[in-house]
Amino acid sequence: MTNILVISEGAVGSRMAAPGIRAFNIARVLRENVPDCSVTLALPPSYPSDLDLATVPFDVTIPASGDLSRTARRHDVVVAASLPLSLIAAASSVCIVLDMYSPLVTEWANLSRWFGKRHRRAWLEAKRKHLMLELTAADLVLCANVRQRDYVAGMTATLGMLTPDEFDRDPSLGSRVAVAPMGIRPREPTIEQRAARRGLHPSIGDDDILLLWNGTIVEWYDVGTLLHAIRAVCDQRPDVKLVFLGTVYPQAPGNDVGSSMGSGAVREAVDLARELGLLDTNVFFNEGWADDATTERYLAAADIGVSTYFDSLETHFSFRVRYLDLFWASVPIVCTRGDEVSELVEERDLGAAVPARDIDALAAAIMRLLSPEERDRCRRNFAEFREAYRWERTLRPLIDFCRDGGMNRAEKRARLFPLAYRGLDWAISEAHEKLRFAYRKKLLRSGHSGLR
Amino acid sequence: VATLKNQDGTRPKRILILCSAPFGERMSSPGIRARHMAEVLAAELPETRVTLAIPKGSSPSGDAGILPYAVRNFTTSSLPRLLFDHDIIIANDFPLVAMLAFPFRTFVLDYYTIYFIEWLDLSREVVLGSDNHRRAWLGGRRRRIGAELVQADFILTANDRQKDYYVGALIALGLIDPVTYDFDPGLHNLIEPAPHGIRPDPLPEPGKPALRGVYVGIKETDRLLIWNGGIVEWYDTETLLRAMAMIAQHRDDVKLVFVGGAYPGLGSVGLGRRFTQTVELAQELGLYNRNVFFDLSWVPYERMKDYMLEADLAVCTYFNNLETHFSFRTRFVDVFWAELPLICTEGDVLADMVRDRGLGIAVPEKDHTAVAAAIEKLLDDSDLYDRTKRNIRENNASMSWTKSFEQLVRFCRDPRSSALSKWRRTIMLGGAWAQWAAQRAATIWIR
Repeated sequence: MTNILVISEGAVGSRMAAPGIRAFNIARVLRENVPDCSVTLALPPSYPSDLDLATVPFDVTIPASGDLSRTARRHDVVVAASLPLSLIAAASSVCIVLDMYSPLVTEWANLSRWFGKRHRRAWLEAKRKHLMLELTAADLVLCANVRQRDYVAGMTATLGMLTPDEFDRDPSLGSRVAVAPMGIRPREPTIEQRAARRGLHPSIGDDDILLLWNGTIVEWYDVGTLLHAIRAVCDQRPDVKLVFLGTVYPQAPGNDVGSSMGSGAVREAVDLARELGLLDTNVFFNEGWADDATTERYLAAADIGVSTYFDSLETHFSFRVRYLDLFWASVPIVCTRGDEVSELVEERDLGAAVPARDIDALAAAIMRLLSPEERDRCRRNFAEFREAYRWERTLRPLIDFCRDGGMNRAEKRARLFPLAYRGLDWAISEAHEKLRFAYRKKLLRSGHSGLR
Repeated sequence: VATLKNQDGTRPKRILILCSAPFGERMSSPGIRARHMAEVLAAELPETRVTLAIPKGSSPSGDAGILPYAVRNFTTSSLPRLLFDHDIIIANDFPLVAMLAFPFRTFVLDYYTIYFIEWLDLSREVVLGSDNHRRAWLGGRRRRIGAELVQADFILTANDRQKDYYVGALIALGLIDPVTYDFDPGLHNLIEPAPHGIRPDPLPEPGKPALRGVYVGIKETDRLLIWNGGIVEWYDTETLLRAMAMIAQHRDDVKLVFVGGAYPGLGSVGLGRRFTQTVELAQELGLYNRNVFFDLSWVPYERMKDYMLEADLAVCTYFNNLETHFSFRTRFVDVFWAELPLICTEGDVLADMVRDRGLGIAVPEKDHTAVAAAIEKLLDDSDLYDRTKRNIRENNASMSWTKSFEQLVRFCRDPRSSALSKWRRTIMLGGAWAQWAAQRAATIWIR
């Protein structure tokens, strides 16, 4: 009997963002595919959950904040997206799977731009050291694509966590760092495009071309180029409409990094749309975070999915979750080159990928996909392709890991010293960050601009 | 070193390419790479002075007098002086003394393999002694890589996958600075791929025969397959030999020659366990010196051309593991240069290129039936063979050394690095080398 604990960091229920969706599906797929196991999904105490307990095949628990370590110890395998100290403390007796489905470090660097310079350095250093601590504690690290796998392999090897014994046992490294991307929605799309359009949005007609931005707007998205391209397209085709679905990321109350995430970027996007004369005529912003049913309707109604971003490491390593919904609903994609999905889009003819910051190329790509024949061809190419993104297939390495389930005690013991050392290293950085933060707050309060 | 001045009175930038591997006639890939790097930099940056430093006792290929770059022989004692005499130092491996010059000079690290993973593989047979000794030895290597990454202001890798790996390594070492990341979010001023290029010399007329008629058993009319390079741990020769055995059952005109089994400087690596196993299996299958031949010497870079020109096909099989995933096999570049259709195993970037651009056939790992089918298909389907050759010729234009080193040239022209500031790294560097020294001491102690 394998007892598995899946820890969700996000809300689980009708309004789920990526962390919640992922934890929910991991729990579901493990329960269905690992023989002789029990699965418990731990929800964060800060979210109200409307999950119907009768319909889910696994147990659900809401551990009290001090209780996580004890809960973890009652299980054989723990799957978590981040490892607080309480979980690391349990690492000596349970198998830990670190579910690192986004290339954190590069995201942090982007997210912390509005911090003071010194505080930002200290904050990033503490975050980075915590990640190193997590990588040391984890028995298996899941990443979203091969590029991330390579990057995690580089970190793991550099930390000395890639031992010769491990390599001899599995020279592919698959038992230590594995690729397990997000999957697509388990249900087939049910709504017809025409039906989905009806009453969806007062300004979008049956014959309009609906472009969908299905996700939030955060720092690393390049909305400016897109809006300029839309301006150029609308001069010829006023029937092109762009909807931003969900502008604010659903977050727990009190999580200040999350709630401030992207708010500035959203404001800038709205201002630019107004300036270009597109706001509420051709470009629409949905407030808040769309719930599941609304998202599905928009996906069914959409003609083209768009996503534009900058050329950065964040882009290079990312596997953007929003694409999976577009795969699921077979919506042709127009995106920026640079990430792995954009390569797939070009290789498999799923739409078009254009160079970063290139307004003309983007406008031309949208114009090309305005032809219904082009879109139909792309739509057909999704059918086979999206099968690879069933959760049962993307989570294969995790299923196999839980099946074999055995833990190597000798290796666990060998990791105790590096764990202690990195824990200390992290604690020092964390203390440094706290001091910097306190100092910055004091500066701000005394009327200083806070730039340093 | 004579200090020449530019016309406007400024001192020309001095670039040093430090090659610590054997150089000259019998050189392996580090030497070849250093030579082409010197050629490209001298041609692209005429306003600089390029020096190629090679170990004492090696001689430059060609007449030193007419080379567009200077060649210097160095020893351990002349090295510090040499380092301080240059502004930019490019090396595959920084010697310990380079640490002294670190705060004052720009360092470019030319890493074109994932050494750590290669050594994990190689250390199974090369490092004799206990498991603990192997662990300690690898720990030392790992710390040396760490120290070199700290020291590097700019890093070259052989492909994008290696770049991803080393970005991870840089983050683990705390070498990515958030502030520089803002200005250079693609880290283009810190780490860039620079794959091996194709030698610039045109395809010559066949010279003295090297294989046909030289080896008893290879007739003029035989179809010749070449394996150009060493046979080390990660090559899967068994699959190839079994494929050859399958073919030998119904025809005797297909011959395979392994050329270049020994590796200069690292003798035992090339003629190790895998090599012996290969010879034994060839004997067991009754192929040895009948359908499969072994050329035991390391063939000089220049002489290798003659071997390649005589062959009809090139083959190389390996396992689809992590080593393969990251690798950029330099031997393939010679195959492309000779315009030989290639049969290789799937899994590395060049195999992807072979498949996508039709430069040969990429086969699944450990599938000898597929290898045999691919060999016969390319030998018998002359349309496919000609088309493949044409594709190779077209593709070669995009694989020149000049193109490979574009990013290096850009950096040397304007050496603005996105690495962490020098003073931060100076402290880290001391720590990194101290860790390395401690680990070295431990390795000597643990036997």
